[in-house]
Amino acid sequence: MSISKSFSPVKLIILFLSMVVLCCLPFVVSSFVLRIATGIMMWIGLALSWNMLGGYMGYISFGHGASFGLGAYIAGMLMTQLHLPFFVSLLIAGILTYIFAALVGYPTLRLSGSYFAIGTWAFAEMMRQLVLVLTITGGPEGLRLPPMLNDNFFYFVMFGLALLVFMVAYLFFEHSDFGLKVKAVREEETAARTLGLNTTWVKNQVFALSSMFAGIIGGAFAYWITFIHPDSVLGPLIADQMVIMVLLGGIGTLFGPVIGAIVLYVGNQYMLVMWGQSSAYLIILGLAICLVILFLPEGLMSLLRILRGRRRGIIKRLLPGMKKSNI
Amino acid sequence: MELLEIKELNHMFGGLKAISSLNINVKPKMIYGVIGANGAGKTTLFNLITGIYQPTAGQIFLDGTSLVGKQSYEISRLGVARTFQNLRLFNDLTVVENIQVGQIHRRRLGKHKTKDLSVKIESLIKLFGLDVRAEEKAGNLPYGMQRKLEIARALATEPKLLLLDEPAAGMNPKEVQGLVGLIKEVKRQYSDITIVLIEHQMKLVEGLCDYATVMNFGQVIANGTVEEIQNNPVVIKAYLGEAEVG
Repeated sequence: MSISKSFSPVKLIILFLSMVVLCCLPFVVSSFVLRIATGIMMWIGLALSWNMLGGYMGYISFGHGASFGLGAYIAGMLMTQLHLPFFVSLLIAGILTYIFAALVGYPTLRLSGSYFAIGTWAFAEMMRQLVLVLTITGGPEGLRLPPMLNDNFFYFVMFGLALLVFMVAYLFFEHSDFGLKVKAVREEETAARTLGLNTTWVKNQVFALSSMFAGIIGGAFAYWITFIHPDSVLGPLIADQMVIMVLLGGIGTLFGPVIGAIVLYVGNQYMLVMWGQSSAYLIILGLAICLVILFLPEGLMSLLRILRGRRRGIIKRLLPGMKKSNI
Repeated sequence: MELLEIKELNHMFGGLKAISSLNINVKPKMIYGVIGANGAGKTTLFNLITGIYQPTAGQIFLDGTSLVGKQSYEISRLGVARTFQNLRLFNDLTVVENIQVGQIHRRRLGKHKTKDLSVKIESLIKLFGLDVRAEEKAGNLPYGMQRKLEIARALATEPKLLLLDEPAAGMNPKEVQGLVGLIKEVKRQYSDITIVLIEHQMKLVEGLCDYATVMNFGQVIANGTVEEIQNNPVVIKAYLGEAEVG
């Protein structure tokens, strides 16, 4: 379970180099590519935050977009109406989303399976309708934030947030007692309770924590995009994309959501550039999801494992004498 | 002083009386059997003790502390651990991780050092013959081993009272024999533990239990040592029906 066991020196070097490359990115690539990279970072963070709840704990939420939108609106309103600085607004947005999710989690987490999915989806829809009719949020007019036209700044913000969520997933969900508790809830809730785990508390914490990160990222998104509207930040497509990214990459794994977010976002942008604002890409997306679910139920992560296994198989065939050694 | 004291326990499922006016006393360090036909209310009794259900009426005491109204996890922390008739393992976690989950709340009490705990896991795994497959996922183990793992996981919580719900269900006679030896070994190593087990197979009850209760339709129909019970006409009637003369 120690860090040294899971991160060999080679992996650490690769990790370090990729960090350096990612930090230098804004000074090398064009602003178009940088904006796509910023988007990738944002979706990596969102997919990882969804994976805390859906992957490690097994509670498939279709309402995670509500946390994203809530964070976006809170940060936006704090900046426009109270004129608070960006990072302060972001922090408050995170805290408020956390508290709000803990309250919402109390009734919804009593549901499980598809009922939880429906419950959270209905809740997100309710949020969208609410924001549409309230005047304080700007209603259907949307909300305009003070513009800040610095692509590098937003790249680093999103990069930092994605890294933060990744570290939380790594430390709290992969390598701690807390992560073990969360997985125990996923596998057998009743048994977990009879082993002394306060599962209600665990579930609520995970729900609030994963919502908080979605909320913070939502706040950063609002400032980046400068104009938010209920349909753009509270629409069902936000949550749907998180779900699909995680399923595509590999649910309940650390790198699955990262891979899924990269593949899906890059694919989306590519098709957008090639075909413009057509909805044809949705068909291809649907097809891709069907294929992944049918042939790679554990996501693209399992593809890596299969390839590694096959490579091992090839080595075995080439060197039959080595079969019984340490391969 | 009784370790487990159940007084006038009643439980209704809608209009069905699953447990009615049940009284059971279990002395410390005993192995106590609960016997009865299917639907007699044995598992319901376990679910009531462990807080999965709340009783309609009656009292349950562990070492003088009332368990009624407490949550499952609170009862577990007071020292009650259990297994399930239909296995409830963490299938996607490894054998070691399954046992670690049982230890978590002990760990939080801060009484133990991490090293002591891993030594404990090792000895549990060895005791239950799971050491060769310690890193394997629980769901991939053969059935008999899964049953053993569930007992090991329950023991990891360091309970005063261990409830075993049909530990031998689905086992062949040879495996049952092994299980009897294993439970005796557990009793030897954890000398303070009290075990209550639900069982159909008389062989297991004979070999293990000091004392037993027979349930039928939610009521106690007999109490006593295993021998007394086997010769009790009420029990024989409930199990085999009345003898027809002629």
